Amino acid sequence: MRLNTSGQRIEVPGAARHTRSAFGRGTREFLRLSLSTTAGRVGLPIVVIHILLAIVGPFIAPYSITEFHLPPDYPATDRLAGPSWTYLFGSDQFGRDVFSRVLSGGGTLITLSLAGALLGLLWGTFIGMSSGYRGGRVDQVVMRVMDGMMAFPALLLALLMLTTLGARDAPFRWLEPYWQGSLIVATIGLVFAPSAARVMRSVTLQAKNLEFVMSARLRGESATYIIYREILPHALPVIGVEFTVRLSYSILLVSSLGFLGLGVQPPSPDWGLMIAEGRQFIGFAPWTTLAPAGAVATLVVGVNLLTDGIKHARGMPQEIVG
Amino acid sequence: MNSHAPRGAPLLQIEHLGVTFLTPRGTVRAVRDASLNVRRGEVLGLAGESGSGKSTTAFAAMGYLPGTTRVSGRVLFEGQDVMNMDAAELRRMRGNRIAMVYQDPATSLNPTMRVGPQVSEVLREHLNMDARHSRRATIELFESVRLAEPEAVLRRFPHELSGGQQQRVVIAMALACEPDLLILDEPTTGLDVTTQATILELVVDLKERINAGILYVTHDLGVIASVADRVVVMYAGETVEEAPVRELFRDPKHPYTTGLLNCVPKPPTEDGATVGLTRIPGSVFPASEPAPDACLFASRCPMADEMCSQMAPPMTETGVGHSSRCLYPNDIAPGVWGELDTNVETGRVQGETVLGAKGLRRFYGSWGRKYLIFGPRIRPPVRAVTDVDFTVGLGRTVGIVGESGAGKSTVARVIVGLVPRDQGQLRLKEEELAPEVDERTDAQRAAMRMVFQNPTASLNPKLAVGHAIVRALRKFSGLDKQESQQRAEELLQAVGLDPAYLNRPPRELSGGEQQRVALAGAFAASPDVIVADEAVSALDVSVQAQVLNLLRSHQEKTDTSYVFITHDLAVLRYLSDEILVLYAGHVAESGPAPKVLDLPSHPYTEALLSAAPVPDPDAQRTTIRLPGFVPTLRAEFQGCCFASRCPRKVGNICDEAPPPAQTSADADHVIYCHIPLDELAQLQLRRPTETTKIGQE
Repeated sequence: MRLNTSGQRIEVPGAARHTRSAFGRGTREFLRLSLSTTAGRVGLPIVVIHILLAIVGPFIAPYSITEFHLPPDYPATDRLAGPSWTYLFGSDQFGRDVFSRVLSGGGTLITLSLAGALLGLLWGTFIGMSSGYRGGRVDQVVMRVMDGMMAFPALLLALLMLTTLGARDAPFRWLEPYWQGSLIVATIGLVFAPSAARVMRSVTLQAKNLEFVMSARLRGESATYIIYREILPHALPVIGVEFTVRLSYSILLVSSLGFLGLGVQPPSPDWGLMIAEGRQFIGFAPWTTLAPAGAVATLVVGVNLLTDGIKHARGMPQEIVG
Repeated sequence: MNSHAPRGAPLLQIEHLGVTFLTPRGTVRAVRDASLNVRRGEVLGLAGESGSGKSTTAFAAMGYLPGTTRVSGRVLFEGQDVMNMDAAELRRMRGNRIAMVYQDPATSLNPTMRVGPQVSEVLREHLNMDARHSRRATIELFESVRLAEPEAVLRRFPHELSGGQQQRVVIAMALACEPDLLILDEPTTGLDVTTQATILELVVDLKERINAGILYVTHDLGVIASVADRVVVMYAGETVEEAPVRELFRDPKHPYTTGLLNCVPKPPTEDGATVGLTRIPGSVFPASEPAPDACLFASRCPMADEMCSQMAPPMTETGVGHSSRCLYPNDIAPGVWGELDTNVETGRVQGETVLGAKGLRRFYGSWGRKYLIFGPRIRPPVRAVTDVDFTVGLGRTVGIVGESGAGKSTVARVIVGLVPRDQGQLRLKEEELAPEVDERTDAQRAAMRMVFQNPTASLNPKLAVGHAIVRALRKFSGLDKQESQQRAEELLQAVGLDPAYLNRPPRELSGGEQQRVALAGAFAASPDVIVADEAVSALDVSVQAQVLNLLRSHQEKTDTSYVFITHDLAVLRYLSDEILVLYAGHVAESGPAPKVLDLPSHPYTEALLSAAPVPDPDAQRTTIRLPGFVPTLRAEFQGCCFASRCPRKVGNICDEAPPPAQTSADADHVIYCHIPLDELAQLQLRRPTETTKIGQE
């Protein structure tokens, strides 16, 4: 089935219109794939709700995230108050509304995770495809370096980078408020690049010996053109799956960093940090931990279900090494 | 044989079979109306182009159809309806009574098991033999399919056997339970001609030895002519003609059969004229549509009239055992497809040389060391192409022929620069060409274009059909978007395609259309040379004829030179002015086409020529068969590269000294052989004799 509008509108194959219609087709394909399995039908709404809440959360939050609900007759208190209609998820040790903080904390987490996964994918695509297309010794050396990086535990590498670079000041003043965030994104990008590179390299190796790539070489096309115009479109489905897989790891990594105190700085709400802070009260005020933990868990489970659903619908192997 | 059915009574009867697959993408009517019967002791050839439903019909005979099918008609095996059998009955029938051999022997054998146990497993399973008996029976089976050294073969893994040997093992496995019906589905399609010839011989031989019926499914009319007793031709899911083999080839009664026969390139006549090929216009009636009450071939038929589109013709008897699904079977004459233009070789003088190659050499890989990158050199590189010379004249075609592994494709890739040469010179007109395509100039790249074997892979499935053509035009002709778009439309028209195809995705085109798009792309920059690597091998004969006609007419118009690589001698004969015969990376023989195809020839050329199936049941069959394998190309040959398989080997000299380049009266015909040319001619005139018959593999 061809698009009824763009069917006639595509005039030049290389024109932007063609790409846009491909994007439209991609979106539709994504929806079809994600809704064709039970896992996808469960996962997609979870992810969509999370994203929606992350966007509108700060505006619908009943209280300010920094408001200490310390009534005048202190110390009679709203600190560590249990869940009630006033405080839906209870309050924390400063009397802040946990529900509001959970609502507001999702945005940063999702943004950072998305950006990190995306950056890793970009890096990986660039390195993997170039290296695979080039082949030979260069390819061997590059891939061994990537293997070396993959041998490091992701969290360890991230900790190393954040503790060394995070201690410094931002190089530019305007970057100051985003410094910690961009460091996290850069770190995740670096940590995830090798596995993406490996996947993209194998796609490139397969495509490299196909006739249409050879005929592009015979036309004298540049390597860049061949990689990005001729081969990349074939890799898009693989990129899509790799992205969603990386996304769930990325969410876990960002929350872990927050938990370890290397995420966004307090008092900004961060699910990882909230879990860490609530840990000491887990005996008598479990909601301070459970609410943010539940948020992270549902998000990761949702993303994973969605990924599995898509992979299953595409007939890809369920386990991807990485 | 465990049946007492009288000889001559049909063993398998298929009556008005219809098979419809219900797929998520729609209904596919694979078989619409097929009727045939197979008797004991005969080979029924089932011929048709891809999509004609011949394989589905064969599967239906086994009762092997997947769940979402609708079947009509009857399939009777010894009077029992296969479609009504339950699972247990089917299983018994499939193993013991009917056996099937598929196209690719490599996938029919378990790569992790030695072949002996694989065959004896069948014997133990179906005939309850014990281990010792089954081993002996396996050896007997291997002997009966003419496998040399059966005891040694028992212990081999499938990958240690050649394609021909693998197919023999598969056939042995099929024969294990002494089936009453043997179905062979394109069993030689993936094999070399010399191997194919030996398998075909085996089939004919089996027919005489075992009292079984054989259903032989193939697209190749040459193969049909050499094995079948009777032939059924299928078109668009219908059987359109049934006839004894001689009658079919002499006196076809259906226009489609006539057209198909005219699509096969034939050897030139006595006076050196080559007969042109029929072009069957249009395309096959789509399987997605229900049959109208009309002849399905009417839209492509040269003699269709109003009646043809008003009623579906039934199968009508036109002679003894000969029937045709045509309303006018008696009006069919050889000329229904119009006069075929004959092309007399004008004796064009060898003009200016466009492409010259001297001493081309390409080895793959490097020396393997004992310890990864250290230690003594233990494994030499593969000598894919060794010292190949040739020249291509203006407007002429050089055909390169040889079996798989001969280095044909490597030569093609070395010429265009996809694979850099290690040694040798390559000149395009006056310029020396760089080894790699990336180092050549745009003008050089524009002057030399390539067409690949697999049309589906040569167009990027993610980009519009016209993409490659437009890019080539913009790069080589310096046209802007608008102009190149327009020019691309003209090019598509020139190859007989609708210009609207330009913006379609390639998957909407058929294989033949895709290959024509690839040709349009190759023609785009008016190149001097087009290198075609098996450009028509993946196509059906009727489509192949279209593409060959197109190539020929383009050459006549523009004087483009072709380097045409093929394993198909018929195609080679049709197109080539000069021929280069390659064996194991070396040139065996080269020269003008008529001289190479005539005596004296190199013993390898002789073997190739005698193995090629000819679409003529009465053609003289010569019996030169090559034993053994193409030698490993890792070691340098001390003597002649063909010595190990040569049926005319004269002695030690063949193994010890490289063969001299012998030229006949004209200096342009070269044979690399130790046997003096006049002696070679003498030897070959005396063919075919029993003495030249060399043992099988």
